[in-house]
Amino acid sequence: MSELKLVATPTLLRTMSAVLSLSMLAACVHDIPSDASRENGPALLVDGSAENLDRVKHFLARSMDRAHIELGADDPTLVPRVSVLPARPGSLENRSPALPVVFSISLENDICIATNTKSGKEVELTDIACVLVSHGE
Amino acid sequence: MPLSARLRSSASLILSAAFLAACSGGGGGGGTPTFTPTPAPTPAPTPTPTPTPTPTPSPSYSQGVFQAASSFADRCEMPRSGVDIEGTPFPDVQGSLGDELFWLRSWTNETYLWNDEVPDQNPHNFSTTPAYFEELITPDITASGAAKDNFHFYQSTEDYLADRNSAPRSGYGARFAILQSTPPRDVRVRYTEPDSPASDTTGGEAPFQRGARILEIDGVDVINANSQTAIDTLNNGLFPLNAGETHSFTVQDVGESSRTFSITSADVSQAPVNRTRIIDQNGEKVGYILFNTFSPFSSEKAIADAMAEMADAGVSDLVLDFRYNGGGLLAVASQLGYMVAGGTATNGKTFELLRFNADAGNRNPVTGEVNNPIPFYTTGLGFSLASGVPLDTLGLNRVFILSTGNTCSASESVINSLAGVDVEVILIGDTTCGKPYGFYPTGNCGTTWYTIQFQGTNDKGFGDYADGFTPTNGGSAFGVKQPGCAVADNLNFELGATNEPLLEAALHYRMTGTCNTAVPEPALQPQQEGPAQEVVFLGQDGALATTDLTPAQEIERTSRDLTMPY
Repeated sequence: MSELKLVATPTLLRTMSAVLSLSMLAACVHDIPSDASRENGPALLVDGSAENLDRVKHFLARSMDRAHIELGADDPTLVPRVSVLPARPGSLENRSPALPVVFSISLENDICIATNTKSGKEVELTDIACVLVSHGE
Repeated sequence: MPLSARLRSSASLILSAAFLAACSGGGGGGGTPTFTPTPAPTPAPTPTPTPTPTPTPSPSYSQGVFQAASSFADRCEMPRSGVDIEGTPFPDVQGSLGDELFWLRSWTNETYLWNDEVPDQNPHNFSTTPAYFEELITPDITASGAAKDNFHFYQSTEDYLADRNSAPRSGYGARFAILQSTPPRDVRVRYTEPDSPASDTTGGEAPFQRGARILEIDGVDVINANSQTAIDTLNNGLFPLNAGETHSFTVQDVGESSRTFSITSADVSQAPVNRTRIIDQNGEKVGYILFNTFSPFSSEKAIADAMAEMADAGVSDLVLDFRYNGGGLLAVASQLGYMVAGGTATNGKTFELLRFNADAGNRNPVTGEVNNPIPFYTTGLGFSLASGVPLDTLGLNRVFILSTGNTCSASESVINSLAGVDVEVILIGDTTCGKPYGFYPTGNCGTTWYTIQFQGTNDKGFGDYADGFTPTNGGSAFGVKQPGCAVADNLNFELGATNEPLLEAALHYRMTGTCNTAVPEPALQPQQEGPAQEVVFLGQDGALATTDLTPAQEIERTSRDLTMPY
């Protein structure tokens, strides 16, 4: 097992850069005039940290009545959606119809909302910061 | 012995399944697989018993009258308390054996595909749930004489959850084919995983190479050793329990002299796409993908990346090597079908419709949802590829698929579904396993039950391939004929090499429309000399000797033949 070291790899630098950018973006969002902030629409999570995603998972898991979930490949800081992986099929399930559940993310009256695209059920992501998708995204 | 009883304690079965056997007289070298029955151990009690169970009235039986399964669900003779390993609280409440038996009866009636073929027997006549479950099955047989339902089994929920949450297995990344498990043993390398100790070429050549025969492990003669101590050494070397174990091997590569090396085990995951090749044939590019599993979520990205490589290369034909692919996620199979055929052929078409029992109507009786067909998915779905990302397509009107009896389930679904949209599927190899069926493993009171609940049908409504798909010129009288050639898998040739018999036959067929080989004899005898062809795996004394599949996969593979006792 190799020793875990913190080194400035290109990936880490990109991640730090992205976090800084998003932090600045969050600051900008905070300064948006109140009329604009109440605009509704597809939104991105501001903070893609593991801690923040854990909080998102908490809300989504509760809405799905599951004790534990894992997020799929979507990056909700880049696209206005997040996917929740199904329970992993067992090794005897060689014809599994399992699918991820996709939640769209939107900002509605300053509240970040995740909507189950299959059932339509909405989940309020309390105290999770979102930012409207800018035009052109 | 009914299968379900044999699978009552899969943990012990799994442990025994992976090991070599001692020679204890007779049978090992015969052509008929021999399995010595292993007494089914008493299931380990997973629940924490409630101190003083309160007796509950047992349900009453009336023939042909079924209460909702939900009215009996989670009412357990020995309810569990606490949470499972996934953190989900056990839903159990105090019930009775009768509740559990009646749940099985009603659940079967509601969800079993052939529920109208199951004789309705009074649960009160049975003293255990496994004994009753064994009766909740269709007695019919297929055209070949095989049991219509060969996939009726169960395991403890504890084992089920442990299995699906298991970490990568320790090993070298080598898949072994044990052609004979008793002296004179014949253990070969079937293939190796990329980026694994087995395929590491840092020292010059990869330690394990396809077809190599294992001669010695840690100084013990693999072929002839027969003491328990020696066999323990062999098993410990072949199947290291932990990462970081170093063992020495003497192997003989195909056509080479022997060599000895040391290798250290690691935690190795199976790569869904083992390798890809772009083959130039008469100025045209032919793609080759060795795709070994649809099961892990990573298979979505792995096959999408491989198909993108094929599209970038501009291949005009594609060979999908499914010979060791036992299936997995239908959604990924659907994506692959779309990537092969393209949008024009698949637009608005059904990849697969799950056909449930007639009583279910247009509902999925397990989920309660409307039973919509599975389309040909055209984008990523979020498993390991971002949802909505368009998939590359090849737009082919034919595809070559390399197959063996290990080509199963979701892999067969690709064959059937492409045929359903008039893509010509040319099958090279052996008859596929024949599993158009699926199930939702369902837990109740500490046991996870598997009963066939749906049959996959293609856009033309076809799904009757319980005896497998078979090449036109093959010897199978009952499989669904596909154009192509019967060719035996041969370990002496590297996968993806143009002289590997299955790939060579595909390339020949591509150029000529004919088969370059005679129909092979059924490969039932271990090959002590000459080509190392695939054979039926042998074992005795409760030891089923194979490592090409995971132990759990092996259980299912062998479970198809109810006449084979463990």
